[in-house]
Amino acid sequence: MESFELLTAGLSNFAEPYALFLVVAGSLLGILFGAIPGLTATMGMAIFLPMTFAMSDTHGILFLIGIYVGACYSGSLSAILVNIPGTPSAIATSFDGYTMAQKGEAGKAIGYSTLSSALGGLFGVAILVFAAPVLASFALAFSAQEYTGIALLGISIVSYISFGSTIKGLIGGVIGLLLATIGQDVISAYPRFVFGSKDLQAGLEMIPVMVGFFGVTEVLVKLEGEAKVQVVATKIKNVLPSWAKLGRMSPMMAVSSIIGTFVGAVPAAGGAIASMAAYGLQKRFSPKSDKFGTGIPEGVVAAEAANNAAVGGAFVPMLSLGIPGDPQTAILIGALMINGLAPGPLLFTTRPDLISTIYLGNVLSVVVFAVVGLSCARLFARLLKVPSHYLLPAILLFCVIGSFAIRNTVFDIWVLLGCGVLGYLLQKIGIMPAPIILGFVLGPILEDNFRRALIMSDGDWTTFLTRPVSLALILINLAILVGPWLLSKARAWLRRTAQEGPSS
Amino acid sequence: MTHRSDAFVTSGLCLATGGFVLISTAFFPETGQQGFGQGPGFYPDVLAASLLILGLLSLWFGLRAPHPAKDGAAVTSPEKPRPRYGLVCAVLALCVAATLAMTWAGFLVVGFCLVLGSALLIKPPATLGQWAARVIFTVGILTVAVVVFEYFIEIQLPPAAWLD
Repeated sequence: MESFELLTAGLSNFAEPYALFLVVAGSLLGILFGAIPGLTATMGMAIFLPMTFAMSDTHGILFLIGIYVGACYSGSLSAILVNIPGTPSAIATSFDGYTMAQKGEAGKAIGYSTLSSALGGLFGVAILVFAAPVLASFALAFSAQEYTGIALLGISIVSYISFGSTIKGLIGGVIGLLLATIGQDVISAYPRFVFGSKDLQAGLEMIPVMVGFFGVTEVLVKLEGEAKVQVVATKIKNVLPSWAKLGRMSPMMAVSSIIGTFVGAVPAAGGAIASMAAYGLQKRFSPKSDKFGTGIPEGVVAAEAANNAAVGGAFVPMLSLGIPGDPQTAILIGALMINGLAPGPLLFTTRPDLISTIYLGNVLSVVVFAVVGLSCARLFARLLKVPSHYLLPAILLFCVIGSFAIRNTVFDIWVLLGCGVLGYLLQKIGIMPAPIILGFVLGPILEDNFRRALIMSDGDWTTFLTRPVSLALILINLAILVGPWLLSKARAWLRRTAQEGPSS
Repeated sequence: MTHRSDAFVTSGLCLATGGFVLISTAFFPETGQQGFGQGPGFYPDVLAASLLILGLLSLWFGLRAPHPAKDGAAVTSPEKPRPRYGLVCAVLALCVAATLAMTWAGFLVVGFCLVLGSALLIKPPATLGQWAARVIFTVGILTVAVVVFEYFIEIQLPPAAWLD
């Protein structure tokens, strides 16, 4: 379908005030979740995902997109004011943002952060509008073998970039895949790992698992440690930069947006990698390279334009291939599946209005956070002081309610607590929740396509090697997992050889 | 945790989980000749085998990791606050008790105890005013939860069985 038609197909969804209300409410909630250290976009989306159960699919998606986009922006607020990034994607923002605040330029930092986030976000949506249908039409030719490779690619990438070692990331991914096997086998309907429990026959529900790993685990980690939040004691003023300064920053914003969008489009990469990559590249090639990190607006702009552009990029694999671009889009996939929709290339032809709603919802959320960010900067400094003995019990309560609300069964609360404890114990040995959840989300896709491919080929494993795209995906997977290790071994060998050469 | 103990724990977890899955799937039916492919146990077996290999790799790399200084020199590192495992266990115990009581006591009572109990455990109040603040906060957040979920979204929260 033409890109312009796709962009306008969902316009009628915004004619009702309720839809607009949901976008604004979601954006405000997202700003709240992103700004408060300890809360993340993923946690916010996971906690409020159950609320979308009672909404229509378009309303639910709009609400979650608002939270996602708002939180990706507002992580910079706590990064600037207290040097604690509210979201991982704001880590690079703190390098210069906090230093600017210490020099009395907190308002300016917030202004640059807001405007570059807004422009980066709009750029990301523009790329999404044109790139997603192209990739989707390409993906229609994919068969079970290719989807197996794509699902493995998502797990490989998240393992490679996850905190800690690649092996630990892979272990987390496999644990997530194993959790997804609980319940009835999709092909033979045989109950697996149910231990006689009727509740487990249908498998583990996505929401209690997600909320458990992203919500309860984080609460337990926060309870264990004690983080004192020191807000920069400065007046926030002069938030809006001049047009001349904005004009000078435009090329940097554009380049960072491009980097952010393409990094965000890589499955499982996300805003954190995007903003770090953009910051690093801008620092390397900028005329003010030696001033990065000392509190200059260029540092804030480079990071923030990229992390919000990555949001649009993350939607590309989600919509065109059904593979999450980051943990947040994994939750959006969960929301679509709750409404009986399967994300992937067919959605462009069966539900163009939903695709259009996603595009326009992104744009509207960007506008909301830009207006709120520029006008309410002073209020945010107060939000950061919410004490943990109020914040954490409230989060626990909403986690419990959210898990119960799906099937009205206490069993899901037990799943929530079990996953929370499991996530807490696993992160002690360096296995983070993100690969586990991605494995859980991708598990049904991987198993279904993997087994179908083998059934179609009568058990012949070479079917994954005889199809060119499938073979290419396998090689990419191997390159991601084994490539860095082989490269480091090769460099060490070359260094040894070079040292031995002159001495002999 | 040192590299070595971390490696042993990780590989132990992988071996235990992988072994458990392989033993469980040994009792699954074989459906090879019935058009269902290799059967319901095949895919979990592949995952279990992957986990076993990853566990062994983790052990291998962990044991080969460089040792910390052995010459008796003190390894200086910044003082970290002691982890509050007691608080974690206490809050978890509260959550478990709340879930056990949910069906009988209902959401309102259980939710009140969970929120107030957690708030008191995380930072015990020192004055009457702080006690009052926590109670008011608990009532407020429960009101928000009931209004949003029961009236706005129309999801019925668990009623108290003893009221029936």
